Amino acid sequence: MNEYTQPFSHDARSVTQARRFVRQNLEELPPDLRDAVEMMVSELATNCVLHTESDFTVHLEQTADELRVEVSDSGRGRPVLRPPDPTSISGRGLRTVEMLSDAWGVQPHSDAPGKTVWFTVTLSEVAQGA
Amino acid sequence: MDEPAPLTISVVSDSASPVIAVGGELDLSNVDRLGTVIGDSLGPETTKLTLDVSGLRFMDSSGIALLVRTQARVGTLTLREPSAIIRRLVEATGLTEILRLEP
Repeated sequence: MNEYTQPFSHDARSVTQARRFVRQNLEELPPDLRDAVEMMVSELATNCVLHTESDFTVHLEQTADELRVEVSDSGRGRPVLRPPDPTSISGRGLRTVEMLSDAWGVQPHSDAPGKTVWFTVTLSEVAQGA
Repeated sequence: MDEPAPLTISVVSDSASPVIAVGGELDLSNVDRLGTVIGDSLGPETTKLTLDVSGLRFMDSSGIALLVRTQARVGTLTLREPSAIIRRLVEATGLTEILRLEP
């Protein structure tokens, strides 16, 4: 299993850095899948910057058939999945994660403030880097 | 290292129906730059705006939020040549109801 973890500061530029972290560590994924993971991490990092006051950490866990991504913060904001209203200005981040991932969820931290938002994507046989 | 995402913006046609080419990567770190250029290119009578996003490698819902605000202001907003992942994002967020995708 490959694992990568990186902390990011509470700053809009951290969204860019988190995307780069993902792309650099998932170079062997098929391009479409890597693009989708990059977008989901961007959404979760954006939520951390906009809706919490804390730094955040991105954690990647890749096995032969699954990639699990966790974005953790120590803030108080709770993620909200809003209905798809095309005229709404915000609230699309988690909708995007729901559409592009195989599974996702929110785990409040039991021993500290904050939460972990996670998602998984299935890696098909074509992703195994022949 | 700690730089905003690279973003290129050029106003291709500054007529009553402006065309703005957007390239690179659009996220929370630089979406306000594009918002400013769009705002500056719109006159009170502008009812159509086209964004040529053929060179845009990345956009997330920060960009979508800007598109929603822009469409509400101009009426007809066209995205020209979105990439597969941007097209998927637009469709996943229900924006095909208010945006035109070309082709």
